[in-house]
Amino acid sequence: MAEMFGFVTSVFREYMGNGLLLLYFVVATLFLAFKEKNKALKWLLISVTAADILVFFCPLTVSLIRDKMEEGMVYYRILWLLPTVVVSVYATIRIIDMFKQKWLRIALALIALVCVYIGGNPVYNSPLFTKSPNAYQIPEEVMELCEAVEIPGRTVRVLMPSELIIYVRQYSSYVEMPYGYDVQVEQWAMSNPIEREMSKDVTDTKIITDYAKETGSQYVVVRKDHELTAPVEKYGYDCFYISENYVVYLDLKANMFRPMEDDL
Amino acid sequence: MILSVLLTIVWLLLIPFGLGTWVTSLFSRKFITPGLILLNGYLSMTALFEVLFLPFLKFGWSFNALALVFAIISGVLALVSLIMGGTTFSSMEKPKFDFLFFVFLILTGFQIFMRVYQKVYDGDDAFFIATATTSLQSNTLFRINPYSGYEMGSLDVRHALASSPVYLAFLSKMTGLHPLIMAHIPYGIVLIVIYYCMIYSAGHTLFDDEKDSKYISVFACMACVFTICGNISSSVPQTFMLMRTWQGKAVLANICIPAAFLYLIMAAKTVKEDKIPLGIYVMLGIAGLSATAMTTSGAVFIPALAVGGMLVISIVRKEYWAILKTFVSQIPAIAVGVVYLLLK
Repeated sequence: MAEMFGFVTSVFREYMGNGLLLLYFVVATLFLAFKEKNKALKWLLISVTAADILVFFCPLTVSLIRDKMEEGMVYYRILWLLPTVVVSVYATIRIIDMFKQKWLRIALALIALVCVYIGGNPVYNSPLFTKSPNAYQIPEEVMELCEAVEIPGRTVRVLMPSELIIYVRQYSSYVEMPYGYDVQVEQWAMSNPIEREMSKDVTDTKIITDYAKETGSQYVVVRKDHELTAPVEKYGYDCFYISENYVVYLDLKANMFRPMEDDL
Repeated sequence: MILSVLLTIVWLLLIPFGLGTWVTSLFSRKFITPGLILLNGYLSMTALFEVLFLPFLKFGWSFNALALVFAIISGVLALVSLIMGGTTFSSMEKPKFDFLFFVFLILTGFQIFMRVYQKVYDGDDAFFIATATTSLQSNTLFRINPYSGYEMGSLDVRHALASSPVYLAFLSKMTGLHPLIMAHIPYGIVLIVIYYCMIYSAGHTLFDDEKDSKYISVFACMACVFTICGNISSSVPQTFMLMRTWQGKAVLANICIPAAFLYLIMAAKTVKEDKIPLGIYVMLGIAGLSATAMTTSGAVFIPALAVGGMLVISIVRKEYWAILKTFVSQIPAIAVGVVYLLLK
């Protein structure tokens, strides 16, 4: 029981951030609980909020969702049922409406917005946002590399550097990879030893080329400045294409005409 | 390029708007806005896609066949809905064009600009967009692992019942735009527009008295600020809305769930002497089904919210049949949830 409580409180703490906007929402709900004139609306707002919080903290829910359904990673989604934006804004305006003077109303609205700015965090401040390089919103070089290795009407298999695998199959499903982005997600514990080898400061060329041949990969892509224990050419590869930052090596003995799934 | 733009307008705006016309005519006149029609239409379109998608998935039929069948059915239904619900236009209320309404438009425009101007690094796209690209380019439905491209031995039940990535592939097929472009630009923009249509409709519903109507634009502007500043953690709906707009879970958190809540608010705000309009039950059901199309957990969220919320409203309003009607409306969504549990 204590462990379950620890789990929900940690999920809750992580979800609410600094807690100020959630506090704003709680105060807004309490205000409407006392001041909202439409009874059906009042009880709807109170009951949805109260029931959602109860369900979230209920040990039975933890047991069902986290333990039985193994969906603990998305347990926070229960809190998506809290109508935070609508209730917070509606209550703010109802409070403002209680005052007659126009200047006071404007001042209160501005104070509320300042509170939201201080208590919240503008999404565009996130370091995950960067200027988009093109309409696809992925690095140009990924598209260039995919187009370099693609064979019309066929799939090809390519051993890609770790930093590119997230993008490759978003752009082209004709490019297969012996491991995908799923091996990089720590929580899923699907780590792949070759992907780890590719991520090392110095990569053992024999290990990656052996793996590429074993998995039927026709190409190996390596970052130009990536340190390797030996030249890739030593293991039966030839330089096939060079982009700004990467070199594509072709396995000289590879079967280039592996049929597509439909032909199998 | 011009053809793609025109087709994008047809499939992302005109067809949903057409589909939403008839069902919106079942709402009380005082709740109807152009934004509500678009919201209802989008939910109807994704719900319809889910209904058609499931048998195609079960029998292993191709993506192209699904796209063709859905294009014909949704096109015909949009036309029929437009003809049957034509009177909706004469009864709908136009937005109040005050100063703050234009501020609201500018704030929404800013978020649209940022959607186009900035890219975001998000690992879930390696599944979501890659699934759309794979469906489109390999003409299959969840048969190929989107991460690697290897054929999957068995169905990935956790993801396969939610059709939203395939819906993205459908939009790409219809417009000729790559799924990456479709997700990040036109679809992302339209979802932001639908989100704010819903926000505006919520303001319009909450401030339905003539003397309060001046607050509708204030509500919309403040909701913009709350949404932009709502990135208090990586798990909150506001973060999903502006960072991963196109992903199914973002749509569930920001459109399906709030839309269901909006319908409940409309039920609560229905004049005491009147019965809750039929359109509200229909749209609660459609929102439930649309939520399952976004992510399978939608099969729990919307039925729980709709039935629980309506229980309270029906007790206060002494309109007890409303509970049963709401429960019936949620049967399709619950059925998808049951299928998921059986397959898991």
